Amino acid sequence: MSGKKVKIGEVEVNLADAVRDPRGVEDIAEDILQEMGERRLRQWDPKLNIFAHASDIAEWDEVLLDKYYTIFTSAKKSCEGCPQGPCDLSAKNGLCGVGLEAHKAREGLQDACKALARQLTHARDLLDYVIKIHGKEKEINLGPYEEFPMTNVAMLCGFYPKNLADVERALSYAEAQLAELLYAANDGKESAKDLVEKTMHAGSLTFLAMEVAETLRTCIFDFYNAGKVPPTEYADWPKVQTPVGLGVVDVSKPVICFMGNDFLPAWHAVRLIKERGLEDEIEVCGIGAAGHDIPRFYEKAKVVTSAAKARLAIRAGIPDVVVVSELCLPFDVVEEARRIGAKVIACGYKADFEGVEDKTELPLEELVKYLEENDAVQITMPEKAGELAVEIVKRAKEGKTAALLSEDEIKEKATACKACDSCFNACPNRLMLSRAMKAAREGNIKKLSEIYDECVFCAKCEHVCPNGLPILDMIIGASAEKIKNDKYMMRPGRGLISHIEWRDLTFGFVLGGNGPGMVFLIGCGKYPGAEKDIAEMVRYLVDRNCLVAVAGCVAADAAKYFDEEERKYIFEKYLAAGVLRGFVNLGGCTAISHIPPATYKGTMIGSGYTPKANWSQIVDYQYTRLPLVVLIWGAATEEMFSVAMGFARSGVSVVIGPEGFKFKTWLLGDKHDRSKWQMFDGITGKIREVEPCPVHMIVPVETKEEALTMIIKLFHRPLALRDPRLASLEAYNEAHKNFFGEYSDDWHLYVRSEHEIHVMRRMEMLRLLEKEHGWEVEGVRVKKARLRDGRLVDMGEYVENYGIQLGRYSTVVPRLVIKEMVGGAVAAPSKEIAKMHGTPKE
Amino acid sequence: MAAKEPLEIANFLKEKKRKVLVMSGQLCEKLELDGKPLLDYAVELANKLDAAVAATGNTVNAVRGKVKATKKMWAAEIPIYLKYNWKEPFERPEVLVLIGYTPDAARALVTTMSGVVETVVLDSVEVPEATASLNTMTIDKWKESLEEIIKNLG
Ligand code: SF4
Ligand code: SF4
Repeated sequence: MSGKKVKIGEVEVNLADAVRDPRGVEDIAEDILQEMGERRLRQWDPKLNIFAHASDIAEWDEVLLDKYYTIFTSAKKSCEGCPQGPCDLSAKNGLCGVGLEAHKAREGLQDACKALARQLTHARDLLDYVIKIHGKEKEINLGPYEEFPMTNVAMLCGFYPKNLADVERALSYAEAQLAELLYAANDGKESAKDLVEKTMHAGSLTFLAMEVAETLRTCIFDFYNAGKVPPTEYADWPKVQTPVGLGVVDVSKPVICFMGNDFLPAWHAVRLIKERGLEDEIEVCGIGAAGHDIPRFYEKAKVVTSAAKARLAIRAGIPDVVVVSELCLPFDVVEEARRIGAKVIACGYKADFEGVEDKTELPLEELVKYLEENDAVQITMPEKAGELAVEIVKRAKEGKTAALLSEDEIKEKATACKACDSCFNACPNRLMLSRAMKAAREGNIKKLSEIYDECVFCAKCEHVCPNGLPILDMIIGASAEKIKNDKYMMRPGRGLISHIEWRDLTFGFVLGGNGPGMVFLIGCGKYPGAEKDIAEMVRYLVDRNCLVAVAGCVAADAAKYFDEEERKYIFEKYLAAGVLRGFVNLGGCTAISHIPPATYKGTMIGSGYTPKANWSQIVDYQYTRLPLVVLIWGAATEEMFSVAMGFARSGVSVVIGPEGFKFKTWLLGDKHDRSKWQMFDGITGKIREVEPCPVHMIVPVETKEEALTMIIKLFHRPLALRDPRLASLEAYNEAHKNFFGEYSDDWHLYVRSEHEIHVMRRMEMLRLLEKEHGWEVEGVRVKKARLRDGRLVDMGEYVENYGIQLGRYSTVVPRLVIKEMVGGAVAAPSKEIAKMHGTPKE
Repeated sequence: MAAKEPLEIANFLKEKKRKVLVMSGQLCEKLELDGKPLLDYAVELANKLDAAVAATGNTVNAVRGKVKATKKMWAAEIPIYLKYNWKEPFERPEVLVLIGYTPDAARALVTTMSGVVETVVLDSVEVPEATASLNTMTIDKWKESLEEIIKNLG
């Protein structure tokens, strides 16, 4: 397609060469090319993914999927996706032509689409609401300390939104993309690889949807936002002021408990509470996403627990009124609330529960009466839901029937257990309830209380018990003391990580310094003992100079540590700034959208590349250089799957806790296959063998020790400089040896000189290099190293043949080999590139 | 159907002796069947089969020194190595015995290895995707079944 030509300095770019279809986006394309500037346009041919379809980012996705194996975990072998089915795909393709692998890939895409749909509808509801009040011209201003606002949007659409109209344009694009992806998820006939690319696209779009919702929270509703606060204050901002735990709520007062994704009913309820001076009379608390949103605008808010354990909070009798919107882990809230006599206000069009009627049109007085006579009501307007909650909560308290089971009642109920072990076999955590029931029958309820520590309150045991034992109530009743003492403090979410922080971080773990890397911890602790584990993991990593940032429910789990010696909660122990040894809370679920921008900022600071529709270049840089890992610990929800795929596409490796074995797709590398671990010298285009790193993009682990060791291993990047290489290798060796009693079988693959081995361990490791890996060592010096092809060579040759020379520009994307050295020297495309991918020009 | 009686499983494993690798998952450390750690069953099985143990999770610390060979491995990586590059200090197996994994993890792992090796899951929950697994049963019956398998391995 020939099209408009744009002149940038001496370089003329035909827009049709830079953008697949420039019609309607010429202004955006021109702006990006101007930003790239003449020098960069002489070095590389631009390829802009403005309003990207999945295939517009295929250049990068294919690099990734060529390197990593896609492992599908679904056992299904037949497809019922269309009226022609079911088709048995185990031996041959279905009637529509789809094969077994592609069908499994479609299942993954379906999961990712579900997550995307949830996030998009939430963002759309909020945006429409805000536009109704402020109009489309309302400015988006994230504050003076945010230089790159809404980078997820910029990466996919090619611009930074300036007002609500721009935001709507981006959201409409994502909604149209969802429709396209849903078509592929159900009727797609493409290859498994194409479908996995689309799944990753759904992940990137999920970040965009979350970013819209998060931006509106900070810009319109004044949630805590680091973009508006000088970085000099970050070290202790926001203050550690939010109580966390089941024991922090004063249940002698009327309690409103908000749960679900929609914070608006809480926002309106808090507004009223403040107007009426009821702050000390009504307890406002939250669970899950809402739990982490409310403390960002109301100092007196309390966080009860993560979404995974919402059922526990209700059974423990905490709320008098539950205000619920759409949930990431749905359960029968109305039925659970009924058990304790609490009232339910289901807020929004999506909070549909069987038998709960929509009474939005009734005036407030009638609504109050209606709720006195009924257990639950649906209200679609957040203002009204918030107001009703405040109106009804005092009366609701009077009607409540909650009481934990007494010790005698527990013992008596345990006599009904027939030790059939249906509960044990249904329990995802393999908790031996029949043994605890036996002990209770014999007079000892301690075993039930021990189960409390490991239980995630999923209720699967109760669901299958043939004798109808109220197992959860028994566990909770046996743990009354633990519930009472579940009291911690948390720092509320602060929103974004500023580019200013990255300027420091660059010196901490990119250019030098002794920080092994940056870890983003998300998810909710739906794993036995998760609360303890998460706090321990945070401490382990921060104490080793990592920066750890949390987002979502996991922040409340991470909060559950109190240092007896220092008399400090974990959030008080560490700096809240984005620095080495920092521990930052970004916010609730939508704050997960800050993570990709936080990583892109590292790239933008380091390279100066524009993020606008410039996917391959940004991600190539960070994938090969920046030690960034995401840890997902908790429920394997569709949201977590979708964002995991999105992170992988952003070049950030993901470690997933034990529930991750349920993810439909893993992306694993094979460290033994040398053909996979290669890069292009960015100047000559010559292919070079590099270390197998990051060795996986999405990998499940069984324990926290595995998680920590894998995280540290994934910090390794082929273009890391010497000091960061030393820091991550030392941390890897330390973790593997301490946790598993032996060094790994691959640590030597990350050594390029004896200076990269920590001095404390150098003698021992040099001996091992000699004894186990056949290197030649003289004193404290490596004389000859063994290349991966088996040759024993002197160090000069080793460094020449293995890995990238420190500081040399290199890339995994053929197009990004420099086509013209600025200053005049032109590099001919190498033969290897021409053979593998055609010339860069082609 | 994958569900088999303990004796059938023992006979199947006996036939494949020396081609078996035992995978010990994290539940081996956590679960005790009336006082006896699940890990002890994994060790006994490996010794009766003269098999090495691919110790995943943190189990290597407890397995080390008790079987002819063991190594810290990562459960999710094993399917990759079996399929493409087996470079472990023990022979590439033809049969994998999984013990100590949650049913969800076991199901995912055997699915990813389907067509690559045969798999036997020794949990108290049937895993239909495996070549063979025990029936869904009570804890007492599970203990008996494991003991029966070990006894019949000779
Ligand atoms: S509620 Fe607790 S004990 Fe019951 S199945 Fe779930 S995790 Fe297991
Ligand atoms: S399912 Fe019910 S009867 Fe069976 S062991 Fe569990 S608690 Fe007892």
